[in-house]
Amino acid sequence: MYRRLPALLLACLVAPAMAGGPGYVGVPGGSFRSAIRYEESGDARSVAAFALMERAVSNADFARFVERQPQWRRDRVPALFAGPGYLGHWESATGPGAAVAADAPVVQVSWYAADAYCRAQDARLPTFLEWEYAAAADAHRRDARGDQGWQALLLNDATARALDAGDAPPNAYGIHGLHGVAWEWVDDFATLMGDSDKRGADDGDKLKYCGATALAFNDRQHYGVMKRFALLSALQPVNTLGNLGFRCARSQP
Amino acid sequence: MKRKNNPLLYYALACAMGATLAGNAFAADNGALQGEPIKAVLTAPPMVPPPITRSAPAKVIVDLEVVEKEMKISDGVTYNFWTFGGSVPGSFIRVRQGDTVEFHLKNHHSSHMPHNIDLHAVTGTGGGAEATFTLPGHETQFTFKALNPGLYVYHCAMPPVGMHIANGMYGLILVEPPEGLPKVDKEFYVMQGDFYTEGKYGEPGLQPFSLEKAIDEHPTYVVFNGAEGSLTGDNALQAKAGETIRMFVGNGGPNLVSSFHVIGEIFDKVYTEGGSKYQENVQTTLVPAGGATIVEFKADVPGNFVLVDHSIFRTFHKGSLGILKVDGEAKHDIYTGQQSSKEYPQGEPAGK
Amino acid sequence: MKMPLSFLLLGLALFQPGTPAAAQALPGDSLYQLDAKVTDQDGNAGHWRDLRGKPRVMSMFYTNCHLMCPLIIENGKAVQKQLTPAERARVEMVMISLDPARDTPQALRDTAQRHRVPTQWRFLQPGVNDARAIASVLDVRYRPRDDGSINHTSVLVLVDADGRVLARSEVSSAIPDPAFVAAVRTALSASASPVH
Repeated sequence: MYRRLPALLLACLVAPAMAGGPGYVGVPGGSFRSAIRYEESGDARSVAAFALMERAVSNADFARFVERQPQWRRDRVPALFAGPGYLGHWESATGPGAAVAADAPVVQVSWYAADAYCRAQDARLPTFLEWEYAAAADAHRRDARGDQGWQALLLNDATARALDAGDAPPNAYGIHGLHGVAWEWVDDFATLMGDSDKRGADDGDKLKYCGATALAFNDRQHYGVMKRFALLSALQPVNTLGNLGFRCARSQP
Repeated sequence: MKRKNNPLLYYALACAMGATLAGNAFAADNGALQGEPIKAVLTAPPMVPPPITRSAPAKVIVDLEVVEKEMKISDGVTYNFWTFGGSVPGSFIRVRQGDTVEFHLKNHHSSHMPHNIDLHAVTGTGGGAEATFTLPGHETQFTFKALNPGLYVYHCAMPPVGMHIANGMYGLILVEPPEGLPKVDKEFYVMQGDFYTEGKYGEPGLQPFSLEKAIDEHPTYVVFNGAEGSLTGDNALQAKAGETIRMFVGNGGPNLVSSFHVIGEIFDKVYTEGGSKYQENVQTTLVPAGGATIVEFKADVPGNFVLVDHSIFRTFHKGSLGILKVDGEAKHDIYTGQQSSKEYPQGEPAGK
Repeated sequence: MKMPLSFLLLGLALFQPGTPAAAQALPGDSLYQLDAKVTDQDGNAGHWRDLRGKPRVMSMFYTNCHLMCPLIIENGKAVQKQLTPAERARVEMVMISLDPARDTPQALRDTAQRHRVPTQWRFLQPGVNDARAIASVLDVRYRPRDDGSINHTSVLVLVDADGRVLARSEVSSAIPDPAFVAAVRTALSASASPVH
């Protein structure tokens, strides 16, 4: 029996990292006060445990997917599923080429393409809440949002000066690059129903969303989240952007 | 030859004059659009597009592109500005009351987030903001009628709105009254803004935006036309003595009100808050955040005339200073400069 | 070897619009490229792409919605009233549920009766995971709430016979958008002449 103990211990240590499969990291569930004021609760929402990809999907990853599912090549994908900029930064329809970093997050991908990639792995895109929950962590704390200095750095998300640009260390969950040079698709971006002009949001039109008004913000100081929300809620699923990529998530049983 | 006094005629004339001077001095032009659509000429500050010469409303097409770019804010200091048309303030737009404006907003492919525009000249939801939500690499369009004449601010209204304005996303749109503005020799475009950086004033390098300072309303830089030095030295505004000058002065904020004054000059006319009526003989005029004013004066004598915000510490410590350089022959009957300087004998000590 | 004309004519006569195997390839922006299953209010199970072949005015709703959904239906009826009987016969109204778990064919039939919609209207229950996919291609935004209600945008979408979106109308009342009605009539006059 004693011989099994080290193996058991090893299994326990490895389990969180392997949760969800290779390349995925387990994120334990918890109570979380989102920056978005959802209608249900003024305050904390409950986030169930889930697994999130350790790193955003890279150009090399996506090239392998396109090889296996050639209907997602930029010269074959229907206009319904991807806009004209789809994979425009790649040298050819089959791969990024030498000029594009193979392990950099793939960008210029539509929501349909990102969703198809994740489904091919029995995974899905994370929800906005899951993404926000995982991204509230810095290198040491699972919720670093009280730190004004750290919050200020988030204003550079999706620019060349982003916190996680380059070889940044993982956050407290072991996840890399959530505040990197690219925004990331979420599964329910279309549900972030906000008015394009937020200045009248609280006096919303109840009919526009059938009984509800546009989503508002709990905390007006989370400018990093506000910027992200403004971008995601503006997108159509067919859009591609030079600084918009994705990573996948898996629900835990 | 003597004329008979005709009191009735005088009375009729007085009534007619009174009617034109009181209330709305200028009749609006809500007539039908005439002529081919016109592509609006836009200019970068401090230049202003030429006055409008047509006498009927037209369809005007405005093409404005948002560009995010790093530019100098002070010597040795740069900032990531978000701009309309590549400049801070953004391009100057000039139309005529009654025009129908077809507005195209582009957002450059390199932008990292969506932008929109709220023009204070627009009557309609959000001033155009809800119609111009524009992703990077995209173009949106909406059309509005310029119902009111005046000088209006435009700015980005994308959440978080304060940050977009604080990064320089503002400019001016002039809606000329139907009969136009009286002719002047020079027109200039000046817009004040307050900027908030993590580093202190003068700290070199690329300075990030400081949300904390913006909320506390403690700017690091208060400048004309997006940078310290934008209107000084080689960039000074130029005029000749004897010329009449009109300045379209805006204040993008986001927070501060400006006490606009030109040292050594008096404003002959101030169209308060950019409206249709003017005050005369004004030294310093308030320009609200998100507002504008039009000042007119004659450059009677040569010299260097300093544009300032008369909340004076921000002028000398944060940068709200510009120069109008007027060349020409001195006019000693108006201003002599120093005529003498000498000692005067000491009399009884004061206070004895 | 030349093919006799009679064979060609026979081939054309057999061509059924909506049969994928015989049809021309779908245009790149056709909504019918989406792989989704639907069941109508009479319980007939089929595929989303079977809707190809006729112009359609589509919307998404759910039966337990008592605020906007009645307005969407009234708006749709009002659009139809502005068409001639001949035009009405050439365009089909399709209402697709956002809530396939609860909007069974029976529930859809009851709703149709309750709102006294013409019998030609089609009500569809998407497959279990297909509601979100259909909403994506129709650009209908929705968010299910904890209490079972659904926040959603309300639109009528005019789609041509091949599944291309021709026009959209945001629904905010029972009064139809004149520009949308005009687009429907234009689409119908274009499809009146046989293409195949």
